Amino acid sequence: MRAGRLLVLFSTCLTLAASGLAREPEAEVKKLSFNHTTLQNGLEIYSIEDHSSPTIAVQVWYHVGSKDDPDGRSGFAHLFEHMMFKGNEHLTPETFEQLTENVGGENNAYTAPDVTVYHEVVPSNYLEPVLWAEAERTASLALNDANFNSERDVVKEEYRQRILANPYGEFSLATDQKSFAVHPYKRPSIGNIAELDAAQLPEVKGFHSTFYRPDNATLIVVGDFKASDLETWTKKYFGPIPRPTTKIPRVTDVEPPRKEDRHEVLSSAKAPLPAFAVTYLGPSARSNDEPALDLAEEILSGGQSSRLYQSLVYEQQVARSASFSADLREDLGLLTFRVIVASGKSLPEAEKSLNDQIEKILKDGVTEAELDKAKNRFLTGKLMERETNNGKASALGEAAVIYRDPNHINTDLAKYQAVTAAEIKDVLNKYIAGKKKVLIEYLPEAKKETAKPEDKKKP
Amino acid sequence: MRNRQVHLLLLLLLALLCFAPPHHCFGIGGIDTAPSPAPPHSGSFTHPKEAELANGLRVIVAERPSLPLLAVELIIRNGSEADPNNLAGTASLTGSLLTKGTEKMSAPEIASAIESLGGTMFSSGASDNSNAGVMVMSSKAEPALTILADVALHPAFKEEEIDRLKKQSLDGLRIVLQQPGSVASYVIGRVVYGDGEYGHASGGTPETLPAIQRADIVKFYRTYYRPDNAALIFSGNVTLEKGKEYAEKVFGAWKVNQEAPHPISATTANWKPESVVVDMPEAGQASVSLTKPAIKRDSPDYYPGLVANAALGNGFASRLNREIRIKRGLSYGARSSLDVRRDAGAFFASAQTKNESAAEVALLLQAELKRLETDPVQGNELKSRQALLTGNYARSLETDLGFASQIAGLAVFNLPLETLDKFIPAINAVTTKEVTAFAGKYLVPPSSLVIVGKASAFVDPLKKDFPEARVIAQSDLDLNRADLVKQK
Repeated sequence: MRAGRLLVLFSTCLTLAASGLAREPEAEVKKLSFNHTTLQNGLEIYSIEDHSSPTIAVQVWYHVGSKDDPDGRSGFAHLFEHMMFKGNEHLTPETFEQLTENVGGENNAYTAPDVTVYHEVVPSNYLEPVLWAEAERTASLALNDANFNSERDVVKEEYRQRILANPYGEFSLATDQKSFAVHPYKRPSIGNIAELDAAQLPEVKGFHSTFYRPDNATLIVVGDFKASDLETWTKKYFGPIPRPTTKIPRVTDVEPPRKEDRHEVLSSAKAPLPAFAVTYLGPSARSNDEPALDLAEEILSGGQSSRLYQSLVYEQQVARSASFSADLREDLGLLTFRVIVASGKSLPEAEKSLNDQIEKILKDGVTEAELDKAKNRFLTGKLMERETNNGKASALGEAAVIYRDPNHINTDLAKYQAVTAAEIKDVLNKYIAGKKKVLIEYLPEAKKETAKPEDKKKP
Repeated sequence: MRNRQVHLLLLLLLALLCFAPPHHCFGIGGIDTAPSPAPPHSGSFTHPKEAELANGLRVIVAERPSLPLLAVELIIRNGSEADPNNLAGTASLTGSLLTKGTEKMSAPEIASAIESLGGTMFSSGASDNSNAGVMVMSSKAEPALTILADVALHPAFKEEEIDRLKKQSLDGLRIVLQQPGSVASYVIGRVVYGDGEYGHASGGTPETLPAIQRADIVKFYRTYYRPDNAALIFSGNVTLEKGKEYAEKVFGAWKVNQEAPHPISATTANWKPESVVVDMPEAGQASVSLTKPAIKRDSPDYYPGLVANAALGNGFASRLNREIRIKRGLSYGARSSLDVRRDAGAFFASAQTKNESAAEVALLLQAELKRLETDPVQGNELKSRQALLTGNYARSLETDLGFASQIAGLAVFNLPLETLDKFIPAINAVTTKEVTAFAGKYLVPPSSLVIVGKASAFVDPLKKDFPEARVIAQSDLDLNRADLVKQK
């Protein structure tokens, strides 16, 4: 893998989206017992002590993401994330490397629509210096034009690598852009070259003072430490950071229900095969419908026995790939069907096959066997997440920040287990049947004329 | 484990040196310099155990009882290096087809059975190895292993499945051949290995995939898939006794074939440095690489090579990332790699950059290779890259699949399991002198240059420093030939 501060284009809640439950999940998955404290300045701290390996995962989740990009500055939250490694009056641009990879650990960060997460894994004796360094960059950044301009160039290269050098990069950007009418989720996390170029250094400083504050951050520590040390060090290093008196601005835009179907056609000189996406608006990650939608995602497109793979890719061979994602974010979600058409097949053929599958699941629902399979796969995924301190830290951070319920790491199994086949059918009908869709077609340039969208009746 | 502890103590000393405060000023809470790290804690990982079945199959078990999970991987000690001439992709198709139907089960039945257990099954063929494996809850070990053995021992290789997989693979190629980085990796194979066994694309090419027949696949399977050319690896919530029992039950009847695999030998003796540009007019970025033959896996220079390579191009603090990413903003990430194989190996250093910067990045890569000798890797830099390698290694052993894959890496090359314990001390024992010697021997002499991108944006400046560079139009590129050019 290439080195890079990572950018996550989709909501982090997707990491848990592989779903499923065995009959007695409690026998398989032990509850994680975590500690929670809140410093006087508002910093939330969650920790799990586990001495099975001499390492510690540290994560700082800031409740600010690409939806908080300033107007005309798409990509700013992510550009800012890169600047968080550039140091301040006490940190050099090398400090995080010195405290992590140079001593056998690792560090990285990612920007999602709702959150920005900085994470490290270190030998456990490095906990104190890493907490110091994280507190330092929460408190202040020292920036200059030289490091800002050169890091902006790095982010532009990241854009080129992810979007321009990838034949389906622009297609993946278009999904959000065309699907949300009002909500800033329509702006891609990675931004675009023009708006990255427009960003100014004072805006970076303003963004830090607006969002990077202890009462907008959650610290997660998992691994080989003593609770008393953690308490001492967090008080010592994070404790003195003042809590600003200003209010933290929050996105208040409300995405209106769609009034009509939309059809967008894009073309690409790079794409060798046509592709299309069909999207519907979905609920927030905190909705009670989340477990059923996640299980629906698993049944429709998890693994090679899933419905879309079996029908479109395997049996009919009309698709190179076919997927359904329930990408549920803090404010609302997006339900997306994505298909890359197989060579020799037409986009309308593939679209008809997809619509048949959507109609079928809306009408007949899912089988008990499919539901059991989805629950079992969720359980295996949950166990694999528990293999590393970093996996546990990510789950705890997501539970605390996205779900606003840290105990979600222990209660989600039961919630998934309780979902019935009837509920999956109901929830899919609730968000898809009779709802307005956005259809995005992405066509190889030469084939632009020939592939006509089919005027299908809505599922 | 002791070695890790020694290593961490060294780092403690290093850290104390690093954090001498450069200047004093008061910040938040008056704490303006990093606190020192505490004394290190020690850790250890399990030692895998081994048994052999009567048919010659090695059974290796890493007992890791902490979670009710189990990874099982069957590895075959041959792969794409054994593809027949002009049939690149045979090993890959053979491996992938294992899970696409057996004498008893269809492809959908196999997928459904494994996934109903909550598991994931995989199979593939790549350079020097083929594999089939499963990741599952340990409570489902027995049914999962029964399916794994069925796909490994009784694949049907149905024509219908072969056709389907070829079509899917060709569509996959259509997509990756539009990405400059992927095209570069195919070109690098030819530039380093030419017509040799490692020169062709493991996954096949648009020309070779359609040419592969069922008989080629069956022959490949019969020749290489045999118990005395395989190892079965368990990693997770299982004991050696239980692993052996499972292995005996489902793989015990596997027979050794009469035909012995013919030995493969790959050479890079014909390599000469050259500069190749593949012109992709629509490329959104240029992929720039320096590459050349390096070492095979069992070379005595393996560990010094890993450290030299890490100093050059592993991690944010590597020399390539400092110069190309951090100092100049020319790339999202630069890296280098030692690709060690059974009979040969390659080195490459690469970065993707905007098309206009390709010539500049080529010169920067070249300068950093030379600097490995003139500005030796020593002191803190040496220690930091040793720590990066040992830390990455320790983290790779955290998961059941990761542990299984480290064992597989040894079994493929017939290296002893004790090599697992050797990695950390061997890396920590590497000296500046050895790193410099490795660089002088392998990295400093001229390399080949490979650039894939929009040539009109960089070819003029490039020709100043690489006048011999030859430009191949994307439409003329032929991955089946050592010279990479389609014959008219």
